[in-house]
Amino acid sequence: MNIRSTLIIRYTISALFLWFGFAQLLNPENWILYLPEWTGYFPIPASMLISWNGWVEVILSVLLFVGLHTRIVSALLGIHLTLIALSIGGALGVRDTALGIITIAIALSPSDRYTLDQHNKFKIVATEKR
Amino acid sequence: MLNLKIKLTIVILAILLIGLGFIAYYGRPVMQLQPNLSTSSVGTDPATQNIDNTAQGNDNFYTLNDISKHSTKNDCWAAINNDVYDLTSWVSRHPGGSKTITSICGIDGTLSYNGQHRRDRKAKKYLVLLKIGQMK
Repeated sequence: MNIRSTLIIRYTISALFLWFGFAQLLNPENWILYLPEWTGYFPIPASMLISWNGWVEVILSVLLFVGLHTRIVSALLGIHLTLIALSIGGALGVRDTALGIITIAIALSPSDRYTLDQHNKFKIVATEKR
Repeated sequence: MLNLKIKLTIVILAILLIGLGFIAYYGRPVMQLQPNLSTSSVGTDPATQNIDNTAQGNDNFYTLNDISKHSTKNDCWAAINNDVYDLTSWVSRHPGGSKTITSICGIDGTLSYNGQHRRDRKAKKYLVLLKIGQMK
């Protein structure tokens, strides 16, 4: 795929998760409806679960944006979104499943050259014993 | 010597954990003492509103004329399936956006509601908390 396409997809998906992460952090009560019913058995308030989820999404979206551990982060975000989408169902679920699959697709290709993963200083180079 | 990538990963993981800790600490439920329960004002939580109304709540009867007087975003009533609901607190919380709720403020929103949520158990579960009466 063209490098520009890869960059656009990566930055857009990163912005998407960043927005949703902040939205959950700032107004967790607006997102309680999306929690599955089994979370009601947790001894943790629903708004705290939403805030935690939002914070994790913010951190992972920043990692995706800068391109650190790109494949792992995009796989995690994609699977997370796909599972949420499947539990919501309906028209919203269809749209979010597609976005989740696009996010997983980022994980299936090697990191592009604009990621920190590919930057020389961040590459883990095996040293050979002589 | 740790590689720069590993160091940065450790820092980010530390930030993540500290953030989760902050959320856990500042978001923990704290019991708040009410000064005088008998004179305290009714909360805006729809659940408490309904509890306060149970003596008369579901026995309240309204006409469409009554409902039409509550047709704004900040004072939103609607009739749905012959029941009357105060949707004011739900306007900003509706997952599909506030416009779909404000579009039925002050009117009979049965068609609109059934068109979207006829078989939606979650929607029914939340809607029942907002009931304030029935259509006359």
